Amino acid sequence: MREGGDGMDNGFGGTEVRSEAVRGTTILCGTGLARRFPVGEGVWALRRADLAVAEGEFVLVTGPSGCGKTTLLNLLGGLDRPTRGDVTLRGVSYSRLDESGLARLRRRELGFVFQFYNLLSDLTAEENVSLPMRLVGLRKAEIAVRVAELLEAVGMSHRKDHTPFELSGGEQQRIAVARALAVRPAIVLADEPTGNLDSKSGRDIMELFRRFNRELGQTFVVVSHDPGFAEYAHRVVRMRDGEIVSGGEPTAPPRTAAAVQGGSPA
Amino acid sequence: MIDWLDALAGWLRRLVAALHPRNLCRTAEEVSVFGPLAVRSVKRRLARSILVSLSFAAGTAVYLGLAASFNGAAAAVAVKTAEPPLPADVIVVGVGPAGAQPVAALDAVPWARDYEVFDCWTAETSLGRRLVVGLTEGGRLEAGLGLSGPIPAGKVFVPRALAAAAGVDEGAVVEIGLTGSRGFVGRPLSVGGVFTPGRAAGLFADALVVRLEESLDLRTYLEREGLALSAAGRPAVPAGPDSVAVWERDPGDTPRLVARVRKLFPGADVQWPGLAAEEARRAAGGFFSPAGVALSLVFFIAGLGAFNVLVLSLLQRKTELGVLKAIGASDDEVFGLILLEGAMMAATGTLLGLGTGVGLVGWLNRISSLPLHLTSGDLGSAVGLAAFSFYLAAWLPGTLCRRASPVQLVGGRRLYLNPRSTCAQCGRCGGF
Repeated sequence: MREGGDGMDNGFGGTEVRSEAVRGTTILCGTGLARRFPVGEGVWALRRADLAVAEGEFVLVTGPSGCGKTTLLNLLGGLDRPTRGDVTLRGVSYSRLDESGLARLRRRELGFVFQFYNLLSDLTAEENVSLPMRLVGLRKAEIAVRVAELLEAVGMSHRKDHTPFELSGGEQQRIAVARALAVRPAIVLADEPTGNLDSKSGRDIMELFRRFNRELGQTFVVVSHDPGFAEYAHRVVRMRDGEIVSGGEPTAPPRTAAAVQGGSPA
Repeated sequence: MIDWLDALAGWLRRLVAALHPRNLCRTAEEVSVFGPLAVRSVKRRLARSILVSLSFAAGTAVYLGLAASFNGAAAAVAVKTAEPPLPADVIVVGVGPAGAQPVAALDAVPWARDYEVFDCWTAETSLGRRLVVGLTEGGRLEAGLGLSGPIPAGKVFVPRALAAAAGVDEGAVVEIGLTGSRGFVGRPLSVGGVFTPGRAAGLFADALVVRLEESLDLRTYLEREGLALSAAGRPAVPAGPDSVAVWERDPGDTPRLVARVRKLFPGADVQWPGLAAEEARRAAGGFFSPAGVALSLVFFIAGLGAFNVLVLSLLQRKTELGVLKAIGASDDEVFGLILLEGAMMAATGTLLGLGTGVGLVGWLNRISSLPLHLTSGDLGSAVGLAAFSFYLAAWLPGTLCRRASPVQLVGGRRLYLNPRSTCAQCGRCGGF
């Protein structure tokens, strides 16, 4: 992993410089999002949500259970289709994409971290991290280098040959974070990434997010019911009863790598 | 119609696009990504994989065993029912005592020498041990006896004295015994006519010739049969015989001759050497058709077992498959992954089954008196049926997974074949 995070290989054959000028540009925008699940008479899990996320921003979405946080995250990540509204990522409207187009978008532009880690149990830690890169079609040599960097960055180099069953929850989540960052996505979406961890492991994971955000300028949207994690985020979006009650729009430019003291993720 | 044509054109376009080198390369890339994943999954879930493979192995082996048994039975039936060919087209029985010099005697019959070719042999008949003379196809006798016209034909002609002694007359059934490769074979023939042998040298010349000439005289024939001529001088309804027997020296020509006779005598029951064997084969075919369905059921049952295991496997791995979709695998790629896993198990099982089946047939051949044998068609159909059963077994789990959204899979929600929300709202089937 390169020190400082001012210039990184973007995984598509070029070097991406996340400069101060780039930061602050809205890359992800959900407008009028609503989602109704066809259960019985139908349940509105999300009534209306407008959310914009700037590049390099670390957004924490919080609220009580059942308020629609995960539903919102699923819609932002293209894992589900909204009943109403639309999402655009770097100007690409999800509603204009068919399922394969949406899959390609997720493959290249989005990273996911789940509450239950959701590593592929048949693969080792190293193979789990390399899978998104193989889907994108990177060369083997490049994949090997990047996997090593990422495992080093999350402190899991010594466990690279272990399968998920042989790892603790915190270790699995670190591997999941490395996997989410594998293709240098535009944005990483994390759904209750600490929900299944003890408090120390949870804080370690949030710390990892903060380091990647500060040093690489990686954009994060993290869903958590724990408002205590607000200290890690640039902005806290609060939800209640399927609606965003505060923090839907960027209020101030996010802190930059230059402005924040932090060590190398490696 | 237009919609149907559009759909067909669209399908062809997609097929051509899929065969484009660029897309083939992409498919190869996908296989390189998902192939190892499928291999790992198959190896990791070894018990499940073995179960599916064994289903196909058992199905293939049982199919081959049964197919070989049916082949053996069919061959045995054909051998048992094969009849020695009759050496002549028209048979005249009792033209002289055994040991006579029929050829020399027949040489005295001018028309016979000129127009006919003879076969003579001794046979046990229901009229006693007699000399049998066969008159081959293409001669005047054959024409006279009706194979080329609407007159009774294909009968046995018996001398009058012999007929009187044996108490048979025209229309009676006599039996002629022929010695074939599998021993004595009795063949029933009906007496087509009774004749008086010639006074001197001719064995049967005069009377038979008169009888034939009479037959060839249409007017006389029609009068005797009580039919009337139409205005055009042809019989309004040619009254054909009830039964026509066809004997052809060259068995290969029999179908042609049978067709000709059937055309001549549409209402007649046409018989020929080998008819019994053919009927046996037809009867066997009537048996083998449902047997073929039963054999296919073997694969259906094997496929059902594989289907259950694959569905269970899918339900256990919903989350993993959902994660694959979440990190960018397309619906088709996930579908392909499931097919690939199933194909590996099915292929392994089918190969195992082919080996087991062939070995089983070889072993049964050593201990069984019924010779079993397999054809390349059996092996091909076993592979084809296994592939078809595998696809049926893998289609539903694959399609369920293809149609489900990543959220449904990651969240472990129920899956419905119909992706419309109304299906989930109904939920009566319970989904998967």
